[in-house]
Amino acid sequence: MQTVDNSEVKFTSLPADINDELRNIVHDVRRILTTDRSQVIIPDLETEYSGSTDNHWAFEFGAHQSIRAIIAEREQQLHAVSQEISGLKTVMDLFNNLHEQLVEKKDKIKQSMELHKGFVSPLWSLPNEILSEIFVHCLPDDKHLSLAQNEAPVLLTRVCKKWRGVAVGMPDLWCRLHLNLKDKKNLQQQDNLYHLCLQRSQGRPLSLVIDCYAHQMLKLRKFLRPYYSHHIASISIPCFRGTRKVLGEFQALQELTLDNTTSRTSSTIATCLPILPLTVRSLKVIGSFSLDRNLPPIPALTHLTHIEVSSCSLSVVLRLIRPSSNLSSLVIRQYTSERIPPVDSAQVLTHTALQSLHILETNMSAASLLPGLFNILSLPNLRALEVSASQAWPHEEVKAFLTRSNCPLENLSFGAKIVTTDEQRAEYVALIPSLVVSHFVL
Amino acid sequence: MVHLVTSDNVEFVVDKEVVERSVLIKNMLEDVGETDQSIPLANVSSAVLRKVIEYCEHHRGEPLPSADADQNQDETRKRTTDISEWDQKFITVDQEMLFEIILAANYLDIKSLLDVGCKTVANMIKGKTPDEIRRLFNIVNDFTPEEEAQIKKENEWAEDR
Repeated sequence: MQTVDNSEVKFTSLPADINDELRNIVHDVRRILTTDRSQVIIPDLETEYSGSTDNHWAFEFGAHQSIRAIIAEREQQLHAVSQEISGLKTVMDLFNNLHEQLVEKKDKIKQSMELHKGFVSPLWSLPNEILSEIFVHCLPDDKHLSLAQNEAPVLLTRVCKKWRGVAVGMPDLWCRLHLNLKDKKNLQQQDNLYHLCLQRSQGRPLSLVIDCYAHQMLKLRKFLRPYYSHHIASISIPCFRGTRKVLGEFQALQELTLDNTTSRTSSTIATCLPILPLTVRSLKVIGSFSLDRNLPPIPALTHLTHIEVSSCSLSVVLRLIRPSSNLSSLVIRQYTSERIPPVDSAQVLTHTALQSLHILETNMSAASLLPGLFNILSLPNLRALEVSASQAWPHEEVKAFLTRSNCPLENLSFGAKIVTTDEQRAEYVALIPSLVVSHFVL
Repeated sequence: MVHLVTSDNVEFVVDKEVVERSVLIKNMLEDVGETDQSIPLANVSSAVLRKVIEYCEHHRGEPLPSADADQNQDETRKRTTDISEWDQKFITVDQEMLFEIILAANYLDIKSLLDVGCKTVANMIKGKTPDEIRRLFNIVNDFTPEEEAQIKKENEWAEDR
């Protein structure tokens, strides 16, 4: 309310709505401060005794009386200035109080202004369907969420009522969840998180990535049990001995990822496969694993349409795909070396449903198994073949495979490291005239 | 050529191939057939239509997303907030224009433009606190103290990052 310019004090006009008492005080203070009386005049405190350096006066009677009179005068002066300070303090308190009130008033005016600005915010004019679209783009790039305060979707529920309503009402924002049970202190939080997602996903299929230790399988089972039946459509779960007990209870599971990277044995997967729910259509196994030559019949395999395996031998791949009669897509990543028996027409595996085959070999120290694979397979309905490898390209085997399969292959894609000649590519096109041959970069 | 008239009564004459990036206009033209009559766009101002036409001109000839393809790519489309360099420059406008373009893209049914707009707003939101978002978009914190307390309690479990 006031600005000080050098020693000169200026006032702007007073607010109309302050009370009369304050108004009078402010008026008086203004009057005082704008006159010479605003300067505090220090009285002349010099006496004939002020400059003395000894106290010989104390022995003279006349001087004694005179000094006492000076002291009495100082006492009066001190009392007067103390009263002035006290009065000023009262005024200052009143001013501080007035200042606080004015600050509060300013905040309320600002708040009201912001409120009204908000009503004309361009964002406000967006219909909820567009806001929903924006919110989907706000999700973090990780497919599965470990919900955080300052990340969507939680962040979106903390901005205003409208955003909260839209975000909470969007089941798709709450369907993918990463549960980490490894941190014991966080178990209750994980439980809350899981239940909140279940509530907000409104019965939509839920996709979970589970991190847990082998000894927590019983806990995990209890954790998931109430929602096995309808909600969980996709799960990624570590593969331990106890995993089979969890798997057996899913009733709507469609996508299963078994993470075998932390398992001590490569045969744990074999214990899980026999109890795969019949609803599963996609099976992905991460980490090396083996399957016994005498694998018992597994009913669920006939329902699989997609299999993705890594670091397993060719014979394991064959044992998996042979009974998977509806399999249309197969991805093999970095499989290990294994001796393949020489090609024998009696051993050729013909798979009539497989349409897409992706083989991604990387960092192979052993000889590539690609020749063996192409020698043993016949895929009469193959439409897409994508191969990445760092070994020599088995041209003759691929040619024989294409001839044997007599398939309607549409796309043949090579990884950047595979070297083929123009003549070789021309030979493939000669076999299948509509074939498109290309290179891809991983 | 197609004649378009905006809400502020400005007429634009645009190449059919360009304007047909709008599914709304494409369907209208298919329904009405060849005509010299102007198409009124009551929800779009001339300033905004000028920007929309600029976008459609630049993307002329690119394949339009079919309904099926759109559904198939839905996941990918929504998950990536990458915007091409040209689109980024194009959409660097003030907030009011940005939201007007989004509304126009929605009305005219130009999916790719709607995507660019929505991704731009999403990128503006990402990495900010609720307070920063409110300040950025002039949004009022209309939660009551009780609601604030409830939200805080509800999110206690969420990681503080």
